[in-house]
Amino acid sequence: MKKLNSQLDKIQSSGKPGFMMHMVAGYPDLEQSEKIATQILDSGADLLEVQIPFSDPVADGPVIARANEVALKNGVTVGTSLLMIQRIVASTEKPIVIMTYFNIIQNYGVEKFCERAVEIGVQGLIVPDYPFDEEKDNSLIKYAQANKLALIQVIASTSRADRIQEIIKHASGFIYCMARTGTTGRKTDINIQTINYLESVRAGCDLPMAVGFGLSERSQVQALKKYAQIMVVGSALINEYADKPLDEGLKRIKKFMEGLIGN
Amino acid sequence: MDYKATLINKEGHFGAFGGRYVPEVLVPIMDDLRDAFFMATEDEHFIEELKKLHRTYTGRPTPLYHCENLSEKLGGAQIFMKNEGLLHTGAHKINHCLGQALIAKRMGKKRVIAETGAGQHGLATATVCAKFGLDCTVYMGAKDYARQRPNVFWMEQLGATVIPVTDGDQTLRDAINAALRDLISHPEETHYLLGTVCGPNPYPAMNTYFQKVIGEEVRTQIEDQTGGPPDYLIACVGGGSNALGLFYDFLDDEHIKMIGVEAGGKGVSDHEHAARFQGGSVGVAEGFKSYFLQNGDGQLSSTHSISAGLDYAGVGPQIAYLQESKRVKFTYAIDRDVMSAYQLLAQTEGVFAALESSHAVAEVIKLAPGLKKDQSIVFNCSGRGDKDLFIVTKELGDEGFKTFLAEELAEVTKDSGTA
Repeated sequence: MKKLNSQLDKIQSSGKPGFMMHMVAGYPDLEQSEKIATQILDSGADLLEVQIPFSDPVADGPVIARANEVALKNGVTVGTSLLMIQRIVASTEKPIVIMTYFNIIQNYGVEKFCERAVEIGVQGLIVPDYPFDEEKDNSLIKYAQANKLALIQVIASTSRADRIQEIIKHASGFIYCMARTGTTGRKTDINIQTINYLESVRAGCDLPMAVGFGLSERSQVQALKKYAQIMVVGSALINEYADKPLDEGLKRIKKFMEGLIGN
Repeated sequence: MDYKATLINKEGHFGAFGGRYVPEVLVPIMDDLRDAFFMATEDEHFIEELKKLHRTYTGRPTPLYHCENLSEKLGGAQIFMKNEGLLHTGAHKINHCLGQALIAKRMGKKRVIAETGAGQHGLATATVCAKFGLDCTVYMGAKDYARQRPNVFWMEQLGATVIPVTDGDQTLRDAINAALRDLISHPEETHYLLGTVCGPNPYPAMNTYFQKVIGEEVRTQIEDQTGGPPDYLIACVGGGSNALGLFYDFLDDEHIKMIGVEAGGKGVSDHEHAARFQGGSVGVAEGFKSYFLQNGDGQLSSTHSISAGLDYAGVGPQIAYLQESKRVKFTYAIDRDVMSAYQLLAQTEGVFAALESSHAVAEVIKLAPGLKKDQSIVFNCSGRGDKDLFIVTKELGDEGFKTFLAEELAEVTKDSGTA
């Protein structure tokens, strides 16, 4: 978690928004996705969120769901994903977090997964279908804490005030706020409700805040940067390189991120 | 052991199974639904309205029929059939569809979504939505959408929008995922009418509550006909809704034996089946913890069964609990035996059972000869078989039907050619 926390401090003190870019391990295949990771990191990402694909990714919209499907069809496994993540971690100073669904972790073994993640230098986990209420039978929060692995909690705009407080209690690293109701990948309009929502989370939360789900443009970043420190971009980035030859995809990633991050 | 209290509880945990493993955006939606449901179960008006509609609209109580010919032919136990196939829309699915539609109305929801495999649950959902004036969208895997055109047509006639899902294997699992994504995108105005005892809390408890009427009726009916309780209860198990419907009321009667029959497909030694207790393992998907057919990484497997209603990689969490606590014994029937059972029931009793329910019949055929004549078996004929016309004719290689289809096709093509 150390690397993550110092990066978060750096972002906070810079006064500029940080960017966490999302990608799916093994999409379109392992070799290409590793090059994509490098390109994303070289193009100014502050954090990289690598998703280990799952057959039933309910929290993801069509773009990311399809990337999961293609990756699995092309034979990526949890084992090869972790090895790839290990290589990415070794190649960069920036913090890497794993996003995956709980079934992947529970089949690997919750304790073993947390230990392995730390061993390869991963800084945190995002598990979108693991609400803290299910901790009793599964101990993911417990083993993440024991291994000093951040378990990044998600808050939704539909979350109620008392539950937001509960979620924050279980959070480490940063808080991930969904900017609107919905699965990933559709453009979010930044309106007064979104801002009120982020402000209400901020009021009860000392951790840095990330905002995501539907981010694709610089104008959205400008509107949100006062309210959250980290911008999360997923589907829009995949759209840049999906179904393109690798060379073209890498160029497009660079251009897209330059446009998003600005100077 | 108090199984009944364990299987319907507000927290939705059944031993280690169940739960509410959903993205945070759905947490308040599931909690509201849970509260509305449990409140309704304490409201006399709600219970009365449900009863009245069962009497006047769906056709409850359904008969418990003594299959004397089949009993005699098998030469053992007395066989009784709970005929849920006589319900409106032809299967037990209408029980939880009606119940959930009433809950949706109480909650002021205007829009209902559902997943469907073969189309039976979608059809029952579209039916109650037509009746209650609710906007209805049904998600169906693109493969199912193509091969179950008759049900798609009926749903559309009832005013529903049917959306083919082109993700993944394009079957039931993908339809469930698509419905969950719809709910995540439109959580406030939508009720997701989930079609079995799977999914996050409160669906398993809620659908069990709406299905338990099956066993409650059986208790009185068998008492009237034989003067005592049954010795065995048998039901097929896809998600588990018809099985829990039959079993629930008897769970705390320790002397009554229960058997759940999974889809053995082409045989459980290869991967072409849907028998979760034959090679499945504990997993978390689609919002709940239970047994799933999955690989070592936790990727859910493709399944196969002759009956679309049992063709699913997961099983309801309460069913997993009943398996682990050994209250219910689980077995499976392979496609070939299911077809024979389907034919035998038709020829001895004049009843076409759905291919799903024919899995239960296949187990009856195995079990009955070894039992005494004064013992009784009740099996759940959860649906009627006319919906399986296309599958059965193909499976039996019926030449006449093939010719009929070819001639119909020629007719249709000719008409459109001259139009």
